[in-house]
Parts: sequence; structure tokens; C-alpha cells
Amino acid sequence: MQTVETTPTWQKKIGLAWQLFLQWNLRSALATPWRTSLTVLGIALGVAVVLAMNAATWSAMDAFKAGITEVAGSSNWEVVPTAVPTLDEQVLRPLYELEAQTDEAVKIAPVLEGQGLWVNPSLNKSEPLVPTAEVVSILGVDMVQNKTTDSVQWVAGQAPINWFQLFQNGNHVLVGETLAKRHGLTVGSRFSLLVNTTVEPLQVTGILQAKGVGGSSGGDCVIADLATVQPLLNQAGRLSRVSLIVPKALEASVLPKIKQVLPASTVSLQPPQRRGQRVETLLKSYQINLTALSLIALLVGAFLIYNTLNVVMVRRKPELATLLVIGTPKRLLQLLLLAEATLLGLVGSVLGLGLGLLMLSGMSQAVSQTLQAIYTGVGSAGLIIPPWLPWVAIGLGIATTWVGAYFPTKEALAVQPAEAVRPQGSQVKAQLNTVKWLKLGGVFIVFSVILAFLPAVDGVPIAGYIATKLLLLGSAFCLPWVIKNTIVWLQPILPANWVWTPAALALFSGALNRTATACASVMVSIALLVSLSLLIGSFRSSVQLWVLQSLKADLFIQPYTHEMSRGGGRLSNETVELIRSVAGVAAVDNFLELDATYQGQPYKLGLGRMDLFAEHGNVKFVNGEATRSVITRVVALAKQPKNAVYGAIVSEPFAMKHHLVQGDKLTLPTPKGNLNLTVEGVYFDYASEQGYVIIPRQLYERFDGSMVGQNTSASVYVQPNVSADTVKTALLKVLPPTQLLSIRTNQQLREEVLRVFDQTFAITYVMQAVALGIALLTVLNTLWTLVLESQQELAILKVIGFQGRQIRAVVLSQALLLAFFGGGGGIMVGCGLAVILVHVLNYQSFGWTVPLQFSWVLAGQTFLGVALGALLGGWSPAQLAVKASILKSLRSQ
Amino acid sequence: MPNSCSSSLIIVENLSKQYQLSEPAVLKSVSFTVEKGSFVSLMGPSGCGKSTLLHLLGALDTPTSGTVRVNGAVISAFSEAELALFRQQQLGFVFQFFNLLPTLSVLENVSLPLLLNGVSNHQAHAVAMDWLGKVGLSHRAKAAPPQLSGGEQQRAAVVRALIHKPFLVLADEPTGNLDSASGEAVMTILKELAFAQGTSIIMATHSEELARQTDRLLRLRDGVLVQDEPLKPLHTEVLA
Ligand SMILES: Nc1ncnc2c1ncn2[C@@H]1O[C@H](COP(=O)(O)OP(=O)(O)O)[C@@H](O)[C@H]1O
Ligand SMILES: [Mg+2]
Repeated sequence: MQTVETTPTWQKKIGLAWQLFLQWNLRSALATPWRTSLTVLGIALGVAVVLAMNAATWSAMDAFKAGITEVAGSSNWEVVPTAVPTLDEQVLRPLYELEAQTDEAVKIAPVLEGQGLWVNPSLNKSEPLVPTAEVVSILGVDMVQNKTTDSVQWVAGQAPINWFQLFQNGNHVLVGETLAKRHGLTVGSRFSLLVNTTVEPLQVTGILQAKGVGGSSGGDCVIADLATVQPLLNQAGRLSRVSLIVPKALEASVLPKIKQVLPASTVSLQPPQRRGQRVETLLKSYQINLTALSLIALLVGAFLIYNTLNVVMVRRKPELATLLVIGTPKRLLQLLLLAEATLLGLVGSVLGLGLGLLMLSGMSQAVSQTLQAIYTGVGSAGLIIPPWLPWVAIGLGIATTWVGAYFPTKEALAVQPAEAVRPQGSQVKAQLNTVKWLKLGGVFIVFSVILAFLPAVDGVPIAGYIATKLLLLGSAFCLPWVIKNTIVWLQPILPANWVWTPAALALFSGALNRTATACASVMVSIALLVSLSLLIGSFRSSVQLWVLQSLKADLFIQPYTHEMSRGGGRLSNETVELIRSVAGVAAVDNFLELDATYQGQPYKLGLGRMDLFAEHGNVKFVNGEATRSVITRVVALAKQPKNAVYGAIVSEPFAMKHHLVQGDKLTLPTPKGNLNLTVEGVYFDYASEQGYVIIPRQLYERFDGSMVGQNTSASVYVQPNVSADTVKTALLKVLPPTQLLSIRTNQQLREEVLRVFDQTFAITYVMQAVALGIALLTVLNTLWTLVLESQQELAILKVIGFQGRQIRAVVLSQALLLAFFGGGGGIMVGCGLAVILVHVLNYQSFGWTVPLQFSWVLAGQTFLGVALGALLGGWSPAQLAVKASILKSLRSQ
Repeated sequence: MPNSCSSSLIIVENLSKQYQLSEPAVLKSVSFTVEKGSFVSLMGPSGCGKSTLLHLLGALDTPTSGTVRVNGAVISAFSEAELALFRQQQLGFVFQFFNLLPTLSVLENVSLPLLLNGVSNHQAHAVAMDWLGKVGLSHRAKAAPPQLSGGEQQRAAVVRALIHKPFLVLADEPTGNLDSASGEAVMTILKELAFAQGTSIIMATHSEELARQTDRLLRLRDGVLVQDEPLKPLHTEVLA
């Protein structure tokens, strides 16, 4: 300036930036409400999926953790079993001695946990009792020693508790407030629980607030003295754990002493949090799975943002140039565009939070169903959204916006002012370098293939996840080249009397920058949909085949609690004998399934009558060996004297997790020393992701006598000419009325397996719905943008005589092109993705081999669905194009 | 060495511009000087390089060879930040297509150069209203540019180019898109307002009539300066 002004102070700079932001960025965004809301919606959808997915898993995890009760309020150490689910109460004696030695500065609190099912009282004596699906946790604590009082809080207004009752009578219990309220229980009420296989009548002595010990399982609990609970659960002499309170000052002197008195191979001393950590590692891979899936939604969100901002920035280029010409610093413009993207991201994210909460209500049920199907003891508590999650979701939403906005804004800011201020006609349109992108895409795909062959890290298939993302991105990058060349090739073969096709093809390939990204985002979501469908479809048919081929038994009998949550509930030996005595029964394999850990990872130790299994049963071995030959070997090895190496069979997930093959050795600790085993066979199994090790039960009993009277299920083989149903009916007749068993025929068992399977995959169905929604949103978004962008061209077509329906055909043809490239590409990429999902991700995280099955029907349906969706989505933009005034459109630039 | 003559605002020496190697240079070794406060018109057939020359003078583009000195400084040597400052303080542009920001009101558009120069919002608006009054746009101050006629938009653009009292205004066919009456009006305010504050103007135009109203005529043909002719200043007559 000629009259020298002071350079602006920083306040003035901020003022200027703020003014420009309001007047330029904000008003521009508001001037195109459609486009802005589509951008915002793209972000919102991504954020919503991330929020809902994670909150759902989080809630399920929390419900899982709620099962972990702190009996002695402030306990800081605990003694837990490592090899099998329970401890021998013999461990208590030295511990109590220690307690006495320290003048009770160290406090000891033994606990036994189990489960029962609520049984509704029958109104009519002749009517059979039926258990409900309502799981009640049963907690045995040492009430004599009275260590628990500090964590006991009575519900207000109760008469003083008659402690004496609790010790004297085997059926007097305290109940948690939640359970009491739900069933209207008061002091003195009588009720029944199905524990193991027996309906047990119980009476309420007191009601506990849902805090401390009374808060176990969210207050859905029954608490009694150990002496009452041990026989009730058929766990005489057993404990789940011993909680300890060791004052900090004494830890150094007392902990080594405790360790000394404990049988180190089967018991460990650890802080209570450790149990929680184990739960977390258990759920880790599941959670990573879901997070990885939900991040694909964000990827699509980034595509949508890229797409719309591309349009926005092309429009703004002359404005940017003008601002540069009048001396606006480039830095300021960068800041303004960044702020605008951030604001869009923020609004989208906040909207996404709301949307996510809506989704969550549907999704959390799916997730907890899935978790319940996979893991033991997951309750379904209320929804819990960890306080950090919304912030992370918003952060991710904004980050996604930045990613999507990066290239369009970078390109816009690279504007040459001289170029942009030239008259519109003389502007050179930026051409997409399709070959460059094709090469980049090729590189990505090659890397994806390489990564797919890398092993999992710590049980988590990181490389596999990256491979999926690279495959999606790589294919997206190849798309512009494919579209360009396909259109060139398509042009001459379309009927000449379709006058609208040249225009549609020209508009479509003319805006390749935009149409290719739109096709890419449709492709990504369709690929997600298709790959999940293929995964589930193939998986389901493998499971079906497996269920048909592996004959477990003619009848399968187990306690209801065991059926509902694997691990809970026992069959007594008397019940097994009763079953054996029924006419028509050829053999009964009484099986015991124990939750145990091997090398720090949970697995299921199965103890069975393998001699019977060799004769009647059937499983499929990975190497194709016949069941009888493998099992006979195992049975023979079991007859060796003590300290030999015995045989075991392991399921595929167990073998995969511990890198075992046939012939490898494994060692299981037992109370009477190590049990050394050779893997005699690896068999296909889809029942447990944790994996099984199965050994003859007679063998195990030699090492751990405490398991002799315990059974979790009984497989019944009926005589050749007798039907399973006849035996079932006979069995029900001899069963006393207070005995309730789940008895399933082979057929029912198969159905049950498939039901559990569908539960396991409940969450993937939700993902499919989300993928479809995103695909449709993209189509809608793109067509609106295309129509708005090509107003001038469409108007010119009208001027040269195109009729309304032909204009509509131009727009709808573009919709179909979008469906063709996005849908077709999505189906192809989806197949590639399915290969990674099935052979890499699924195998590495669960250890299940599933042969992939391609389905033409699915492909056809998907393609038709996308085409139909595109036509529907294209309808309103087409109408807009038809109705638009020629003059207005021509003047619009 | 440079700027021996203190009244020379612009010194152009051997300025050449070649966009593509395959094509001949658009400007071929053009040299001239422009004095402070003068109004120069630039004529020549379409494609002869008028816009190119203006863009080089405004440092919107970089020359292939040769230099442009403004107030003694070689503008092609400016850093990005120096360039922004240079345009902010010393230059004004007027384009054929107005290039007002469509989302900003007319008042906001013309206040922008003042705000960029650190004038407070309040003061900038006051000054801008005053200027809009001078060009007969007071009643359109709150309107959005697309609602204005071409002539009105260009008058606002002229205000935007001059309001911060730059040394130099570069105008590229400012009347090229206007009917002759509006064009005449734009020309008048450009001349008057620039003269009043001593701003130099270089204006590309196709109109002999408008060119005759300026102090000096430069004629380009195929990138070569073929005519440089002083004219009789006419603004005094217009004022009268
Ligand atoms: N960015 C560019 N790239 C290549 N050629 C250009 C570019 N800008 C202008 N030209 C060419 O330079 C010549 C001069 O253009 P221009 O300066 O716009 O002429 P005028 O403004 O006199 O009509 C023209 O032939 C034009 O095609
Ligand atoms: Mg020109």
C-alpha cells in the first residue's frame, strides 16, 4: 500500500481467518446443502458403525467381567487352579495356619462358584417342571469364618439375619437384590433352582444389596455357606479359588511361604486382576475382528468424502485463485480448508454418535449372542459405553475426513492462479492418469497377496488384516483404468438406436475422477457384503457336513446349565448309571469336559470312554485316518504303566494355536505329576474355538482322583434295532420328577449346532446390512453429484432435442454403469477377500479350516440387488435432471 | 543497474514466456517501463499474449527469461510469503469475469483487501461503504454478487482492486464481458479512482475507444511489442 499500514497483528489475523471461514467456507458448504449433508452422512455412517461395534463388544466384555466377583472386598491376591476348573480344598489347611500365624493380619476367603437355572414353580403337581433360560450364579463362601461381612450389605428394612439357619439347614441361602426383585422374593420365600440335574428347593434367609459379594452376576445370585454349596453343586471338597488379603507390609515375608505350601503345577498365586486379563486375551481376537470390520466402514466413509470434496474443490478452484490473487497467504487457505474438513468431520461424527446409539440397540444383542455362543459365562448386561469411546469415534471420524479430504484439497491448493482466472472454457480439465493408478493398484494387490501368506502375530492375524485393506485399496486403484477401457470397448457394441448411451458413457467417463471413486466405494462395500456371505455360507455348509459326518451318539444327554453355558453343570454317576440301566441302551460314554489352560491359553480338556468311542463314534481326522484306528491306538497307549508317554487326540483349533501336528508331544500338569502325551490325531471340530484335548478318562483319573464322580455329558449309543426316540421316552419315564436333563437325539443335536452357529455369526449379518446401506448411500450420493455437475451438458442435450424420458435414460444409464462397475467389481474383489477371510483370518484366529464355496446364486442376487438399488437411487436425480430449466442450467456456470 | 529512474514503477527487461517447448514463445523478449501513476492500455489480437504479460507482471506466473522489477524488486525472486505480501499491499487485479467470491456479500468482497492488510473489521466496512458509494453500489452492499448485473459486479471488482491503495492495478479485458454503456461506466470509475490515489493501471483491452482514453498505448503482436505510443490524457475532460 502506498500509505504504509502496519502489518496485521495476530489478533487481526485470527479475526480475518474467522471472517473468511464464516463467509467463504461455511456459506459455501451451506449453499450446497445436499452435497454437504451427503458428505456428513458418509462420515456419520462410518462413525456410527465404529461406535456401535465397539460399544457392543465392550458391553459384552463388561458383562463377562461382571462374572468375576470379589468376595473378600479388598482382596489383593488369590489362589486359583490352573490345570482344571477347581481346587482341592486341602489347600486351605496350610493357608489357615498362616492366617493364625499372622494373627489374622492375612485373611483367607475360599469361594466356590457355580450356576443354576431358575425353575418356575409348577401350579399343578402332575405337570412336569420346566427350567427357564434364566441363569442364576451360585456362590459358596466361608460364613463361619465370617470373612465376608465387610463386603456384605443388607437390603434396608430387613429383620436381623438368622445366621444359624444358614449353617444348620442345607437349603437356606442369601439372595441378591436383582434376583429377589425380579421374582418378588422376601425373607422366608421358597423357590427352586435346577442345579446340575436336580431341582433344588431353597429358602431365602436374607437379601443382599447388589454390591460387593451381593453384586456378583449383577445381583442375579444365590449365596450360601460353602458347606451348603459344595454338595448342592456336586463339588464336595472343591473350591473355585481362595481370595487372600495380604497387607502390603507382609507381602515380602508371606507370599513366598504361601507359594511354598501350594502344589505349584496345578495352582497359582496371582493378583485378582489376572483373571480379568485372561478374559481379555480370550476376547482380544474377537474384538480385533470386529474393529477391523468396522474400520472398513470408515474406509468407505473416506471414499465418500473424497468423492464429494473432489466436486467441491473443482468448484472452488477459481475462488481459491481469486483469493490468492488478492494476496491471501496460502497458509491461511490451507488452514481454512483444514478447518472446514474438520468441521464436517465433527458434525458427521456427532451425528454418527446418535446414529451409532440407534444401531447399538440392535447390534448389542447380536454381539452378546455371538459371544455367548463362543465363550463360557458371558452374561448379557446393560449397554455400556466406555467414556473414551465417543471421543475416539469422533477422533476417527475427523481423521477419516482428513484422509478423504487430503487429495482434493491438496490438488485445489496447487492451483495456478493464472490458470483459474482464465475464462472457464480455456481451462484444461485435469485428466486422471489411469495407468499410474493401475500400477499403484497392482503393487498394492501384490503386497496383499504376500501379506496373506505371513503367519499371525501372537494369535492375531495382523498381516491378514492389512492384506484385506491392501486388496480393497489396490482394486479400487485399478478401477479407473478398467472403467475407461471398458467404456471404450462398450461404446461400439451398444445398439445404435439407444440415442442416450453415447451421452451417458461420455458423461460417465468424462467425470472419471468422480465416477471411479464412486464405483470404488460401491465396490468396497459390495466386496465386504459378498465376502462375508461367502464366508458364512461356506462355513455353514462345512459345519453341516461335519455334523453329519461325525457321529457323536444316538442320544446326547447333559444338564441344562451345561447346554446353556459350556462348563457349568454336572451329571452325577448315579444319573449315568440310571441311563445305562434303560432298556435298549447299548453303551454310555460318560464324558467330562474341563476348562483348563495350556501354556497360558484356555482350552477344553475332554475325558471320555474312548474304548466305547472307538467302537461306536466317528470323527474326521485331518489326515483322513479312520476313527477306529486312531482311537484304538490311544486306548492301547493308555494301558501303559505310570510315567509312560500316552496318546491324545486334539481338535484342529488347538493344534493350530499351539503349532502341533500328529506325533508332537504335549505335557499337561496334574495333581499327581505331569501327564506326557503324544498327539495321535488332529480332528476337525467346529464346536469350540478354544480347542479340545481328548484323552481316555480312566487314564486321567489315575492322575487326579477328584474327577472320578464328575461328568458333563453322556453319549448314549442305542442297540441296533431300537430307535433313539424309544430310548428317550423310556429314559424320561425312569427319571425321578425332580431330575431334569437335556436329552437330544442326534438329529436335534445337529439342529442345535447350527442354531449356535447362526448365533455365532449374528454380528456378521449386521455387518452385511451396514455394507448394503453404505453401497446404496454411495450410489445416491454419486448420482446427485453427477446430475448437479452435468447440468450444463444435460441442458445442451435438451436444447438439441432430447426428450424427458431420454434425459432420464441418460441418468439411469449412468446409475447402471455405477452398478455394473461397483457391483461387478465388488463381487470379484469380494471373492478375493473371502479367500483371505477364510484361509487367513479365520484360520489364524480360530484355527478352523473351511473349504470356500463360490455361489453363483449369491453373485447373481447381489448384482441384481445393486442394479435395482442404483435404479431406485438414480430415480430422484433423474427427475431433477428432467425437470431442470434449460435456461437456468445453461447459466449455472 | 536497476531503478536509476525513481519515477519508474515497473521495469520490464527482455521478458519471454514459452509455455510448451513444442510451440513458439508467447512473449518474445519484451521490454518497457511504466511510470508511477500512469494508465497504460495494452492492445493486440486474441492470443497475442496480453493476458500472459499481465500475469507475469502480477507474478501469477513465472517468466521463461527476463525480469520484471516493481519498485526496484525482481518479483520472480519473491518467496511465496513475499509474493502474498506483494499482492496484498502493492497490487490490484480486475478480470474479465469479475471473480468476486459468490458467498461473500459485495461489501465483504470489497473489504477483504483491507482486512488482509490488517485494517480492523469495523474500519474496513466503513471505508468499503464509502467506496461503494463512490461507484453507486451503496444499495447493493449486502447483496450476493450473483444477484448483481455484470456491470455492477465489475464495479465492485474495481473497488476491490483499488481499495487498499495499491501501486499498480492489472486489468485484463475488464469490459470484455459488458455492454458498451456498462463498460464505459467501469472505465470511468477505474480511471478516476486510480488517478485520485496515484495508482498505475495496465489494462488489456480490445476496444480502441477505451484505449484512447489512456495515457499510453502498448500494442502486442505475436508476442512482440510492435507499438508504444503516448496518448493525450483525457481524464481531465471526463471530470469536467
Ligand atoms: N497455460 C498455458 N499453456 C499453454 N499455452 C497457453 C497457456 N496460457 C496461454 N497459452 C497460449 O498463449 C497464447 C497467448 O495467450 P493469452 O496470453 O491468453 O493471449 P490474449 O490474452 O492476448 O488473448 C495463446 O496461444 C494461448 O493459447
Ligand atoms: Mg486474454
